[in-house]
Amino acid sequence: MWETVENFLLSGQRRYVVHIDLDAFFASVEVLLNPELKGKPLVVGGLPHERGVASTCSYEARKYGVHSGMPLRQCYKLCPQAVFVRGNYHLYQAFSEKFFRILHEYTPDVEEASLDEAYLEFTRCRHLYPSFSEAAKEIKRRVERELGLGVSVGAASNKILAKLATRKAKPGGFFELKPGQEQDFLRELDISEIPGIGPKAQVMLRLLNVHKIADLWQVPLGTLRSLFGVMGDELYLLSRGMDCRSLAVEGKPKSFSRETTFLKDIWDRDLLLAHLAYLCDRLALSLRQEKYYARVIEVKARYSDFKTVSRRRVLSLPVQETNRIYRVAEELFLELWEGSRLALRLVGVKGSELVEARHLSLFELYSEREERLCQALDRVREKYGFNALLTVREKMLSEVYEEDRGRGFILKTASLTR
Amino acid sequence: MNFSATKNNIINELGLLQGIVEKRTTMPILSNVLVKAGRGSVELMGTDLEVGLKTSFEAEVRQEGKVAVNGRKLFDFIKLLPEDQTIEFIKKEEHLVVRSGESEIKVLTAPEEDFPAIQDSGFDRAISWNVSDFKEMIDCVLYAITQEQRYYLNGALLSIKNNQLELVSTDGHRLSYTRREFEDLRVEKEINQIISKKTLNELKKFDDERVEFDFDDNSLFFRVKNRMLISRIIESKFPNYQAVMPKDNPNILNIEREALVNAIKRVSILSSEKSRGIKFDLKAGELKLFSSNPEFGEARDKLAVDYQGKDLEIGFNSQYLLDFLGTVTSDRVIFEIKDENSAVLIKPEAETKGTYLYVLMPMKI
Repeated sequence: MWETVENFLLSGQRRYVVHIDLDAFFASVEVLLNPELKGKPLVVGGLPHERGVASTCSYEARKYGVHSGMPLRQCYKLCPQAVFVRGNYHLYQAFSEKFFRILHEYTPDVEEASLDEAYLEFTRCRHLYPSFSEAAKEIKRRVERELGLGVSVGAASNKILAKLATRKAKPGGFFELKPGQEQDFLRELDISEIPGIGPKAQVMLRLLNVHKIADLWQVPLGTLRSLFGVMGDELYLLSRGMDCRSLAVEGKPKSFSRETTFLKDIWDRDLLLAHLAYLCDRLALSLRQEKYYARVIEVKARYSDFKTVSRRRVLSLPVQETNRIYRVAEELFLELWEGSRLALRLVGVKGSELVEARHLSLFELYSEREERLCQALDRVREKYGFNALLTVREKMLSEVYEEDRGRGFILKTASLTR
Repeated sequence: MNFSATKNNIINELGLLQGIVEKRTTMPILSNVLVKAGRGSVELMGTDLEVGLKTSFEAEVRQEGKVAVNGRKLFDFIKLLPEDQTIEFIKKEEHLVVRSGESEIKVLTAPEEDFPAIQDSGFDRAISWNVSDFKEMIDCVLYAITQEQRYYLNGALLSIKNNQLELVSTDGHRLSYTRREFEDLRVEKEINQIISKKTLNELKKFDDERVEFDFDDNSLFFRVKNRMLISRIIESKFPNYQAVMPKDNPNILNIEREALVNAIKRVSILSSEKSRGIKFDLKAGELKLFSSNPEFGEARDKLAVDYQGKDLEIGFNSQYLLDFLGTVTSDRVIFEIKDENSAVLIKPEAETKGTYLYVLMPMKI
């Protein structure tokens, strides 16, 4: 949680935080698989003519101004000689899991910020490590050795400074910000480096002639508060390298969700429902694997103009069964889409308000049929792969996507965020 | 307005009103009580628009009149005065002066015409019953009332028949049912009304022999001596509870209540904090209890019981079991179970004062 400046100044203990980031993660994995790509500009996310954005670009591609989040067409314009690949999400996931397994060996305090990025805190286990920076370097060496991927590491006394240190260390380096160096380090950085200063805030600050972080130091707290409300306190602290956020160490999940962007916009009702059914199937499977029931089901749709709508329902009986989830999701989806029947570029489904046990309802009949069906389904899939058993509706997707018998359809969206 | 009365006369009545008057001031006037001095007595009124209370105390009234004044301030001041003190109340323009000996407060009054009208009843139907029995019945249903969106579940169903009262409450996962005979209870036809949780809580504070009951299109009225509780009617249909009462569940567990309560409490220490789920593993002559929590560990317990039926594993919310078992007086309780997915009927083995039933849905753990 964010604190007021006054509260922050009252606390105060030296912390040891490491930020660690896999360099150009997806692209590096692709190079590892196909060494011929080494040294070439590489864009992961889709083919040049396809819609969607680049999810990662190799450093060679970045030289041409290409960056992640940029539409593929534009990437192609800037760097036509780049190699474009759609990417292999399952593979990245596997690398990511290995990455985190290594990190968890060093400290229990690991925040998995995204697939390729983590914060580690050594404050609690400082007695185990004679040298903080040696420990950080050791982790870096191990990740490089065992994954074969480039990694950048920043070490400092809190999250914001560690992250900024990593940025300085990139690519492939190590940078430790020692106590007392913070001011000089921050002084010349652009305000856009501070997470939380979005485009709007930047405009406001630049109007006040605030460009560098040192300029921000001149702005009184009161002014920041009146400009940004509670965020003002945050900016005041972050710009001084003060950050009391603790690591979001993995606790219990709050929700599970599955979504996908289509290869091209879809308005065919059956094909949309096929996607939805498949996503519900995947969602239900992860709920069952993690032993949760969802009390709330939410469906999301994005139109071709990027307008995004969603609809949710609170259920009296929490669910983890594929059919139960799909029935609700279908109703919700049709409620929000049937009125317009416009083409969509994305659908998603989310289960939240998770519970570990469900209380049956007095006023609704309960039958174990769905539960048993799912148990049987899970057993078959465990043995023969996810796509060994699909509903007719889901099967429609085989006309659109490649199938990996073990892991299901290879959908388009590969996402770095968890 | 000018009157005086002793602290003992006032304080209980004013105290009762504290439970009624609005603490969060969505409508500032509702944080006030209306003080109305008439001949020989003073009436006090408070309401949150859902539940209202009208009560009175004896006083020496020198000048009649009424004011609306902050109930909390008045109560806090009078509470701190010595016992048996005579307290003077005088309205002076915008203020109410409350004085006792050398102590005095002067409280700003609110415009009494803004105070919402509180309905009244003549209690012409002459329906009444025993208070202490009724209070015991309330305890049997209060805990199963939820505060949630489904408005009809925010209260208990009161069903009045000739010689008989029923109270029923449910939160969708469990249902409490209690019925008692009242020999002198007479109604022309059956009355079914939903009473809010707040009203039931207030009724529990009443002491006397009898409570009188009446209703009109908008309100329910309960009167015990000088005190009258007015409760706005919850206009919804109560769920068809008879349909979910299990009949002829074949597996019967007869168990000592105290031993069961203790075992549940021990085992639930390691149940999931959110779901409070524990498992019953039933075999002839034996009940094993089990709970686990990935963060902390697991707990087991075993009781020798009288169980007749098939081997069964069934999950329950431990808190829901304790809610019921804590309001039962009988030494033994009986569980009538069908299977791990169907409603279980739980009841005291020996019932001295009417009927008390608990219907509980299992939990999938």
